[in-house]
Amino acid sequence: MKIYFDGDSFTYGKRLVDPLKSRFSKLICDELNAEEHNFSIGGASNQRIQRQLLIGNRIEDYDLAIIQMTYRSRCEYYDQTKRKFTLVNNAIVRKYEGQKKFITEDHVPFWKEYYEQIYNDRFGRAQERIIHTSIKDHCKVKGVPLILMTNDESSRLSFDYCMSWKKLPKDMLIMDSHLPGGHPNEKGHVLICKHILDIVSDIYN
Amino acid sequence: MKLYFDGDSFTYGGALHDQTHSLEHRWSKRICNYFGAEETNLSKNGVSNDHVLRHLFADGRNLEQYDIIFIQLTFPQRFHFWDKKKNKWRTYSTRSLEWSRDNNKLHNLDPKFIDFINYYADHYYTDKLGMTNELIAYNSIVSHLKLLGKPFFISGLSNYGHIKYDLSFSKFKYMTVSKQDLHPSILGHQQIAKKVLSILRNKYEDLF
Repeated sequence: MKIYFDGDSFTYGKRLVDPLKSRFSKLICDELNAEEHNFSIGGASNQRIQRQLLIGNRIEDYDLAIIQMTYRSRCEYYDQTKRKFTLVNNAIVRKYEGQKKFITEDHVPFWKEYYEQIYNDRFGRAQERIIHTSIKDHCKVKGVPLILMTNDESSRLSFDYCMSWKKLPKDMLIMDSHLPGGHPNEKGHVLICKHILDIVSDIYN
Repeated sequence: MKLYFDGDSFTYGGALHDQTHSLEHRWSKRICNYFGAEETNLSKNGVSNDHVLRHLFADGRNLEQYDIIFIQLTFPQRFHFWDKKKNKWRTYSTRSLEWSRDNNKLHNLDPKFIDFINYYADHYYTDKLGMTNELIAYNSIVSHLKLLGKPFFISGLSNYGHIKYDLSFSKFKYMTVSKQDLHPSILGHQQIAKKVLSILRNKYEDLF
């Protein structure tokens, strides 16, 4: 069995001592005796998650897709100099501290302008809905069962599971300067794994 | 029978309208006439692919009522945004900006916003981004329409050539309004309708 995972830092296992061993995707795969294919990265946007699913990977090669959508204000662009897609995060733009995997300092004024002039909640919610539908449709048409989750509790869309830091007990979180409530710790990942396994069980029984 | 159409000026019949010709001449209407069907045409001049995706995925539209869905994708250089001041969806385009620069004309846009688009066009828009966005839009629409289980037809305007549309306007020869205005003329719309019906016949024999 091969399981496809994608999402942001929550699914990557940021702040864990050894994410590759203790993140929920690994725990789930250990439990189901499955191969873990985790494409997530910290700071990922929904655009990235959609891009990787629709044109970057062949979802039909997997038996199950477990995808975590993220905060709708994040986006990405293609950096011709670096020859790669670069992450743009509203919080990083507002409080830029030279984070390497995000935009470089010279791009900050433009993206500040973007968040002031172009981005607003109505736009963000429309984009989020388009991507949400597109992810669900793509998996369905390829015949791959999907567990669709979010860590954004302000979303109005329907998800199988919301893993927001607001929904996790405080002793299951590690504080992080880039995310108000922090990231799940080892115990948090065990709890998330348990919730997802319950959903997996509903799918297969 | 009801047919659904969405796209930009090519499907709206933009040039026809500009020349005070009736939209009865546009290719979507001609297809409807062929089938004796009711036409729903949501297309609009100058819109982006996001506009089409929004109609399909985010506006809660009931597509079940339609018998055939016709979608036309446009240049990926166009993007949409929600204008809070004007309370409506608007499009900005790095492509029309090039046109505006060449013609020394600027659309009714805030100068600050024009600076933004200029910077976006020069520093952020790349063919790689455009091709990626166009392919994502195309794949999303195909999956959505396959699940709907209704016959569909997808055409495209961009000339990147990386997507196998049912009809690619950049490869199809039709009569244009003029050398400068590449929109289909009345005859062009007639040619397009004929071509679309011929492709549709090969794709969905049972419809005919």
